[in-house]
Amino acid sequence: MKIAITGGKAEADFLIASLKEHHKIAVVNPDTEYARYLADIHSIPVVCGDPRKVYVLEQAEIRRFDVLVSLMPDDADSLAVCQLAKEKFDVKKTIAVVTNPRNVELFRTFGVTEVVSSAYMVSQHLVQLSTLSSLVSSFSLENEKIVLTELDVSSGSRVSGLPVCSMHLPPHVIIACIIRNGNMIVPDGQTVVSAGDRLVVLSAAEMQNKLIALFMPETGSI
Amino acid sequence: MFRFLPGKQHQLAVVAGASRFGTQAAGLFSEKGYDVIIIDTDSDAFSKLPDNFEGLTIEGDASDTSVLETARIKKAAVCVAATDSDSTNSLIAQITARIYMVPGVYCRLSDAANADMLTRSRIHIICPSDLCLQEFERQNRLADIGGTLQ
Repeated sequence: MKIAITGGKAEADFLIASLKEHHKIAVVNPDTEYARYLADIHSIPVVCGDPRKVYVLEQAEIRRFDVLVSLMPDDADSLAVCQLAKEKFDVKKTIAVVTNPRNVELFRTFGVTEVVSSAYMVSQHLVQLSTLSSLVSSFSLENEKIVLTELDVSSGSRVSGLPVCSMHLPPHVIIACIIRNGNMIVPDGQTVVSAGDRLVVLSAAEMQNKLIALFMPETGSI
Repeated sequence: MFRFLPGKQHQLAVVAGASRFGTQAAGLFSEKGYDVIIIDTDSDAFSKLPDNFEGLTIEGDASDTSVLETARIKKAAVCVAATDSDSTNSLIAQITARIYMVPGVYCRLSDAANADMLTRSRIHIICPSDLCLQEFERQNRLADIGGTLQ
């Protein structure tokens, strides 16, 4: 894909680093010092200028690019850049990173393909964290490839009342032991898990999210 | 200060940005009998308001929909986007014209090169440098006729 990255500091740096291998990247940055830094560290050409100006985007040769990402600190500037890219340069998709969550819906109405608000994501993340922290603690082994997860079974949990063999555990997951009333039980397929149990589960790291999802209370009971 | 005159329906004008242009426009609306609300992030900027201004001031970001709603934007007949940022003015103009359907929207732009998208949404563009050039041409023409300019 052809991707243009406009504005931004560390976010731009990160995006360029993760995308430059497999995509054609064009970078526009209004900050002289930072533009030079990006060009040096990533060995790519960087246009230093205001991406809200037609002649600056022309110099960056972004015509008919697949994606433009705007990371301008002022939301209104990001909208201006995205609209300019779409209107005058036929850029197919535009992504604006905004600070005011109220602009998410608004900017979509004004033609920006994707609007990302960090405040919105952080709030989502916090809601998830506060639910999880009461239920889960985990410990990584073998360079974080294997994790040991402690899960408390709440009364609303989907697995409460089920025998281990009916829990539909994801692959590469094993329940190492169940702690019930301070006693340790090594379960087999027939062992029934009930509310109040604490499970110690050994799994592949990539399975942890699936595992946690399985133990989450059913929707509506959080 | 806010004055209601009996037996007369007032139209509402919202001015976004207490710039020199914004404050003068707010004064003009007051003079013409509009109810006027002027918005700026910097309350000191309101000191530029002329003596004929009789409306309300709101301290806040006029590109934020919640601030515009406080200014009763839904009821406005006219909105003037007059902050010192082109992007902000363009955003305010689009919000007021396209979301709140304000009938008369005016947008001040120092660079009007990409204004066609706004004019499509029936937004009126005011570009000081264009106006300056027009006036220069006019005066220059007059001078040519008089023969005083080489």
